[in-house]
This record gives sequence, C-alpha cells and structure tokens, in this order.
Amino acid sequence: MEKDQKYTVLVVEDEIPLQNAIRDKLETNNFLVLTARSVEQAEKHLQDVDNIDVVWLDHYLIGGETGLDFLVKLKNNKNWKKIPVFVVSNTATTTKVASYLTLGADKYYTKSDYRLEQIISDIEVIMKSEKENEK
Amino acid sequence: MSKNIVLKTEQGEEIPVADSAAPLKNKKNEVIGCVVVFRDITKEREVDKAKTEFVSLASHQLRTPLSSINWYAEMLIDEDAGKLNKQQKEYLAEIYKGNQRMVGLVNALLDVSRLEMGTFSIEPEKTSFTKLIEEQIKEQEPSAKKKKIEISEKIEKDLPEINIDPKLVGMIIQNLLSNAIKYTPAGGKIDIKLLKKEDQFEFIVSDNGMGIPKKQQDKLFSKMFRADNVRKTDTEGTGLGLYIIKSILDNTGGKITYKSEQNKGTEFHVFIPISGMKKKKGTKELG
Repeated sequence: MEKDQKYTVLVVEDEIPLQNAIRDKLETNNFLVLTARSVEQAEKHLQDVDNIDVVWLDHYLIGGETGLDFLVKLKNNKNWKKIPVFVVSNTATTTKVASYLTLGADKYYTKSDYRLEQIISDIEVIMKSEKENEK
Repeated sequence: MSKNIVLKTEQGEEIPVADSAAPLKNKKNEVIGCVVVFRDITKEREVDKAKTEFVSLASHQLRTPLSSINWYAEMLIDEDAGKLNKQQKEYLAEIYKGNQRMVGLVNALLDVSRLEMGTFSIEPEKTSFTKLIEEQIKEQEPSAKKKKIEISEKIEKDLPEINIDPKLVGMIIQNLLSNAIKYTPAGGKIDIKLLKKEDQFEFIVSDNGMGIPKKQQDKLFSKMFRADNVRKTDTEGTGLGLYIIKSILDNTGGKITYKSEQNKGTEFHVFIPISGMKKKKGTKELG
C-alpha cells in the first residue's frame, strides 16, 4: 500500500469486542473504518458514504438478515457490486462457504483460525491489484 | 455383527438393536445351535445423538470468545497498544499458545461431532497426493526442526492425480505427521513414503519414536485414547487425531494399518483406492 493511501473498510460484525479488535487493527494498518452490526446499518453506510473500498463481513448479524442477504443486496446494486467482500465468520459450513463464493465474495475465513494481520495483508494485496487494474 | 443392525416390525418400523450371541452345545461339546439376544437401543441412540449435537453446539459457541482472545493477544504481542517488557511478552505468548491449543481442540471436537452425526461432506476433486504431502511437510518442518528431527521423503515419481477430497486427506497427513513429530524424541527420524500399489495408493509415515505399548494397541483408534507412555511425557494431545483419521477412512473407502514397538517406533500405512472417493453431500465440512 502506498504510504498516504488510505482505504475505507466497512466492517459488518455484530460482536462488539470482535468489532473493536478488527477496527483497531485496521486503523493501525492505516485503513479508515466504518462499522455496522446489522444489514440495515451496513446499507445505510453504503448509501451515505460513496468511497467504501472494501467490506469485512460476518455471517450472523443483529436483526433478521445475515451476511448472505447483505452480499446479495451488494451484488445486485450497480454502485456497490464491484466492492471486494471478505467474509470472516465462525460458521464455516460447506454450503455457506460455497454460497458466499458463488455470490461473489472474494475470500472466506474461519475467524478463530486466522490472525487479523493475515486477513488484512490479504485485503491489501487485493486492493493493490484493484488499483493497478484501474490505472 | 455390524454396529447398525435394525429389526423391522410387521408395521415396517425399524428398531435399532444391539446383539449378543452364545453357542448351544450338546453333551459331546458339539455346537448344535445358537442363542441370539437382541436388545432395543433406541433410547441409547437418542442420548448419543443428543450428546453429539451438544458437543457440536458448545464447540461452535466457544469459537467466538476464542477469536476474541486470539485477536486481542495478537494485538498486544504486536505491541499495537504500546511497548512490552520481556516478561510481559513471555506471558502473552503463553496466553496466545494456550488459546491456539483450545482452538485446535474445539476444531477437533467439531470434526468428531460432524463425523458422528454423519453431517460432513466429501468433496472429491482431481488432486496431487504428492503436493498435499509436500504442503504438510512444509507446514510442520519448523516444529520438527525445533526438535532436530529429520524428515525424509520418498515419493514415487510421476504419480497420477487422484479423485480425493484434499481437505480430508490433508487432515490425515497432518495428523499422522504431527503425531510422529510429537512422539519422536529430539534427534529422531521420520520417513514418509508414497507409492502406487495395484489399485491403491499407499502412504506411509514411520518414526523411531516412543511407540505404542503392545497391551494398549487394540485401543489405538478409540476416541480420546492416549497411551500410558505418551501421557507421561506429553500433556497436549487430545486423543482425537487417530480416531478422526480412522473415521474418515471408514467413510471414504480407505484403510489404515500400523506396526509399533515401544521405544523403537511406529509405522502407519494408509491405503486409498485409486478410484478415489465418492462425493457425499453434507451440511458441514471437516477441518
């Protein structure tokens, strides 16, 4: 990542302690962070802020909708569909992983098996290649 | 007899039963018949299923607080919240290590419950067995090096790709290799071989480690079994690894055999048919 380049991440995670940890680590790594605990809040952020570069998404969220519902909405919106999505969840069933990837998520991680640093470094790689492609 | 015997009532209802049999002999000690007793085990099955489901649910719920400990410990170790002194670093490293062990245990318990509930899926795809072995060796080399254990590999050249679930076979290789490293004393040796024998692949892991006491070998693949000699030296094992391997192979048409002698070493042979594994739809994946 270029030194002064800051990416904006929308973190959609319902557990506050986890959300705080993700936010802190992302900020340490020079990202701008927006947080949401429900699909509704996440959608509102997307409507209000037009430069969200990447989404960090959990499966189970507050309210009736899951990360999967959010991904469908994201991919069906012409303004949002190109935003890369990293799913970070503890409920890694085969069908769920397959559904997320088929619907266009970039990667799926089981939370308890990965370091924050690893996920962030993968996000940086994808962001960098996205920016390269834009040039 | 098979573990899954059912008796069918006239109405077509199936009742799971356990059976025991005894020969009937005449005065000359000749077998003239047999008494077979069937016992209704419906209740036992239900209790067993409830227990497995509970383990699955509890393990799943544990993953959230474990992730929290993991991530906060990671940030402290990385000094994101300020400089640490040497002792603080050491203590945090222990917290992180202990938590990693717990994550490993929860993952193993989830795998066991998925195997027992039959909810795991088998997703075969064209896979290089050789590549799977090399990936696992690379991953585990640091722990072998720490103990100055030499890993040598002898893999037959130009082996064809095989239609297997890479995750499941990866778990088998990973468990056998990590056991060999764990139970081989410093300076020991581990040999890994892969060969094609008629209609099957044979994968061999042998070590010159602690071995398994003869009188306990029949329990080797039982759930949570840990041999007396390893209990004394290693407190970290769960006794789930070999049980998981055996269950995977039983469910995918494979086989495992072993030879072991205490204080000399152990050799495991895994056989996987060249025809590969059959796809099975499930709600969960292992590993």
